[in-house]
Amino acid sequence: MMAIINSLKAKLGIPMVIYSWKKEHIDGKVDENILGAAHPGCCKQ
Amino acid sequence: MQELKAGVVDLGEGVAIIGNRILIFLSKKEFNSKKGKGILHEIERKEDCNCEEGLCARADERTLSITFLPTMRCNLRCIYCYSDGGWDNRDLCLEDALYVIDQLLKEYPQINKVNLYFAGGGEPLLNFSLIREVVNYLKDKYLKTHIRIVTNGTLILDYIDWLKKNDVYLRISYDGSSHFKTRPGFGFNSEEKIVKTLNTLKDEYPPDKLSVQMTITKFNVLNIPTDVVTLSTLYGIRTVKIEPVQTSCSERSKIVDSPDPLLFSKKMISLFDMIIKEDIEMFIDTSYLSIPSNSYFCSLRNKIVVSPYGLLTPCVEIVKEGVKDDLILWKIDKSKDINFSAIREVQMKNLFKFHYKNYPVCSQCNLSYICKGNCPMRMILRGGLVPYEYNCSIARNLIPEFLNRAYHDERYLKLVFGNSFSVHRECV
Repeated sequence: MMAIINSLKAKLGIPMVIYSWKKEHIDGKVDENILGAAHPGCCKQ
Repeated sequence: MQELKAGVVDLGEGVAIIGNRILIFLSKKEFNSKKGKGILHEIERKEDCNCEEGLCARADERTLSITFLPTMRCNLRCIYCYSDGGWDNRDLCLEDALYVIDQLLKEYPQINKVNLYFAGGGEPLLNFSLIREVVNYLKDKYLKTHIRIVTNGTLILDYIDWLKKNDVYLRISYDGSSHFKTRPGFGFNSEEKIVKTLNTLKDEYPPDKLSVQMTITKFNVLNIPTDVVTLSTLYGIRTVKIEPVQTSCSERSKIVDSPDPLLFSKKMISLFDMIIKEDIEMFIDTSYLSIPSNSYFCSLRNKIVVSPYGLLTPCVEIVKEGVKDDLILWKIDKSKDINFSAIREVQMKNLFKFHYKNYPVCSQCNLSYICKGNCPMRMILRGGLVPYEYNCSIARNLIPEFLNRAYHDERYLKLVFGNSFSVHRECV
């Protein structure tokens, strides 16, 4: 992720705000209490 | 499997670019510059997580993740129940539950932690003895446990000491102003009971271990903002999961009173605005606003459901045979080992095709990294990769409005993503 962000900085250099997530968040294993934010399903449990 | 492209969303003054685990805001002027166009090229080079590796029942290499449905019995008769809770008295057999745990631990000997989910089926706490025995069984093996129970809330006070002692995370189903109509008790007033429970929990339970699940129908859609804010102000609830009701495979949910998708989106935005304006400390969890990525698919990577009918399945909506049999992962037979290779084969052959990357509508959509095609069961139960306009309609109305607010005020991102993200400000 940092490689992409650094590449964006180096090559582009234009004003922008970048929000990034670690891979772990996508699997919902860093903060289980926000599991639903990463998980589209389990809607009606 | 198709490759999804990063999405560009026009926000009026600005532009949002949605990529895999990345979200970029910049002004429209900068985006339209030669350098601005280069952003898309840069972020599309990013690696794509391989979701087909089949991490059956594991959240990661050392963490098992198992969902038990302790019983089909229920003391409520919710009008939209996805599993017809209460129409059957079947309990999950403790021996089956422990057998599945043993088999998983044998398959993955490096495991040192188990995420335990107890959900319905019926009301999980009606089979509390199974929950307690499963937890004790794992503790006797010196395994760390992280326990979560999705409950209708009516029995919590009977077990509150045990729940506190075991650091149980509770997700309580409560529909606010329509609760009496949508979640009636079977011979008792469920609303009185739940209000008493929430009042007690406010004083006696750690707030970071509590959340409320609010199911939205046409009966409470207009009240989303006030119902949710009331949960915060009256009961100190900080996390609320909000989803519109949708048809499932159960008899009761075949005719559901889903809210109008535009109205639902509008009221969700009103809720966000109200929380930000009043500076309320809350986290809103909804499936339409998930962390941007092109990899996650709910059932495939880390979930296995153990049903009272002796089945291992990928979803709580599939609990018995006759619903979607080609998605049943395994039928429990304690005389032989579970064949995990066979389970992965079912996943690969019958389940992965329902990844949203394969939906024609999602491969063309600029929002699919965030909505992820919503719950794949909706597509599965409809019998194919048929676009589900209801969910698309909510996504198209909700996501751009949300991003537009987040472009101007980062607190909107925190409201739905918590503190999960890092921020990099370039030349701002």
